[in-house]
Amino acid sequence: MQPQPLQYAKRNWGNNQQILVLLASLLIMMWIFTVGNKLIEFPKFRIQMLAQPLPQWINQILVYLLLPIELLCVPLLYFNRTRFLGFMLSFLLMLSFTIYIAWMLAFHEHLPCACGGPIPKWGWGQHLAFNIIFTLIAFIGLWTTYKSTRAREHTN
Amino acid sequence: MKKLFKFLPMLAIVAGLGLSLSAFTSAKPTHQQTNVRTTPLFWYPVDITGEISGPAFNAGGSAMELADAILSNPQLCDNSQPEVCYVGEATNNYEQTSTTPSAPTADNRLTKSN
Repeated sequence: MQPQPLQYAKRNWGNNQQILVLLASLLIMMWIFTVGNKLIEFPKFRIQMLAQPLPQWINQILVYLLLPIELLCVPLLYFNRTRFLGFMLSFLLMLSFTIYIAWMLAFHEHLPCACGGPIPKWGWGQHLAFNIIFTLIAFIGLWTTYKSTRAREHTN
Repeated sequence: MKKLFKFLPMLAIVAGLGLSLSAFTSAKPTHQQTNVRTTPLFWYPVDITGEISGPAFNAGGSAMELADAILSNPQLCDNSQPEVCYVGEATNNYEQTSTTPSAPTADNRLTKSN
């Protein structure tokens, strides 16, 4: 027996929800890990940020702006209603970090790393690959949320 | 299975916290590097005696605050030499050398942090 369109849409919606929860959880883990690390070693993070080859006023702002924005991704990704925003913010952050690293690797010889966890021990290639993977995860989450919302609107 | 997915974000938060704590506790011994030389993190002018005589500049050429704090506080360094300090350098910027980098001298007036 062929599944009815509404049944099919419901089943598809359920599968999408599980994928979204999985992707959101991966991003939540990554954000908590990074923010936790930066907070634990905040003096070091501050100095690393100030050493970034950008104008100092930008570095000064980023030291205090970056962590709250990164942390904001966690509650946004946690709740169903705000997950789209969470994926959007995560995608924009990860994309900007990835572009910054790629740009720095291409045009600057010396790049201090203001990053948490094991990342400072990695090479820049690995760091870039890590960023690209999580940018893709955020993009897939964003796209799937968008598609699911549209599919749900169609079934209603 | 559905219950697992319900608690997955919560598990992710706990795992993230656990990972950051374990990275913090385990990073210290392995993060120490010995006899390594790295690319400059920031630059500053030195006088004839080797003393710092002006503001430090980061790699982008912008005047950098807290450079003195980096130099005077070995706790903030990623390497073990007390007279030299590298902060936030990725490992592929390190080169294994047989000599220990020395503090700035009059020979390199505008020099790097080592």
